[in-house]
Amino acid sequence: MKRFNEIEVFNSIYTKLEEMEERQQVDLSIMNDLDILMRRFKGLELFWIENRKVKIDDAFILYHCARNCNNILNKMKSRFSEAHEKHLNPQVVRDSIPLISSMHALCDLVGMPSEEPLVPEKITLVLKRLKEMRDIASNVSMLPSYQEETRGLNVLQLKRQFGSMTESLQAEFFEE
Amino acid sequence: MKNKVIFDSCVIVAASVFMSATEDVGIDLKHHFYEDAIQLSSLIKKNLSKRIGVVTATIESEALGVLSEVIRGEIRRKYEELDRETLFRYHSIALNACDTRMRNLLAFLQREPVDPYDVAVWFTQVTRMYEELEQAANKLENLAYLKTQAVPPKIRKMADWFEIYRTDDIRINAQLYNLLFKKVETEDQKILAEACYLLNLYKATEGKDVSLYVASTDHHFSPARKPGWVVESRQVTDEIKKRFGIVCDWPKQIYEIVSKKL
Repeated sequence: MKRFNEIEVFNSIYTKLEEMEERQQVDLSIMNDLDILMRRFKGLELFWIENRKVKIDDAFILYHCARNCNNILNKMKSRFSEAHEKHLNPQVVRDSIPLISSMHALCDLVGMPSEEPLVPEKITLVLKRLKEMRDIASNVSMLPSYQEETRGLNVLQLKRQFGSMTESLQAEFFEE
Repeated sequence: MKNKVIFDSCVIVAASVFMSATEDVGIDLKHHFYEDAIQLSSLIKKNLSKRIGVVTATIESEALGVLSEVIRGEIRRKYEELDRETLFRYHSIALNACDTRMRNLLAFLQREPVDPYDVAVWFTQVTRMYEELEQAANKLENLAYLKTQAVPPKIRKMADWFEIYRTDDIRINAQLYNLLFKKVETEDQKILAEACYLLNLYKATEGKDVSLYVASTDHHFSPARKPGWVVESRQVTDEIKKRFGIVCDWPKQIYEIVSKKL
């Protein structure tokens, strides 16, 4: 993967958000920074799909984080692009600040492609930070809905995978 | 009389998965593991003003871990069946769907803060109880052999009495044996310690007439019973009730008890 200066991109986003908040006006030049981040997370998704050196379930967790970041950024972009039209200005800025901060914290943990196995403590921390980011995204309406996530997907395939998961859960926890 | 029900992580996960499967994905889940969990959570939602449903940060964190561990298990199991992109994408969607439903469910439960120092004191008592129960499990005599010897000689050849008595012993003591086969995790002991803390807090702040229930499918809390069993094994459950005054049972039984009291 190409070298990526994560600090620089996040700093640029923070600066623009602060300026927007001060001026109470959306600056669409932030879209470019969000695009850079999205490309980065898309690259990480592919990296974890193709990486055969780490355990597959570890790779999945990291893929899952990158995919969530990407989806949330996509939603954020839509909110910014329609801010003027829908009079979301400057609410979208206020909503984005804690979300970007939480994403940055998650990115600190999962942003680097690595071939090291994940220790259980790190998995717990990654899941906690992911949950925190998704909770914030949900509170500020930037969490993609199930319908948005599954648009264009094979419903039967999804039902099959989900059905199999429910059986595993039942087998594991139904001890009666 | 006030009633409080602590939702164990497995019940939260079961209810979340049920809601996601039926309402998002369109799968009809028939197993009563799911139906019981959803029935109890529906009771809590209908009686929101009574603030019955309770959860702690430890349980929330464990529920998240349980859900992700189930999905990780699926990924490990299916990695040869599907291409990785499909495998990852569909399971990521499933994990998100359940997580969203879990968030909705948790919104109906009272998230109680706990004092870590007080919980630590209770934790030592909980640990001691499980140690003593484990010792009791280790000391269980081989009653099946003794009972077989007591069968009158005339009917001794009519059946495999040792097998019959052995099966009975295993069933009667299933909850104790389970402690030997499956160690009680620290997180679960912490959950019980938090329950003890909360019960005493409720008694001090809301009056002595408070009952606290833990809805769980784990045998280190709830009785071991199976369809076809005449007996149920409840040594651990009874000990929890005796020492701490907390009633632990399966979601269905908790639903039956609490719904009658409302």
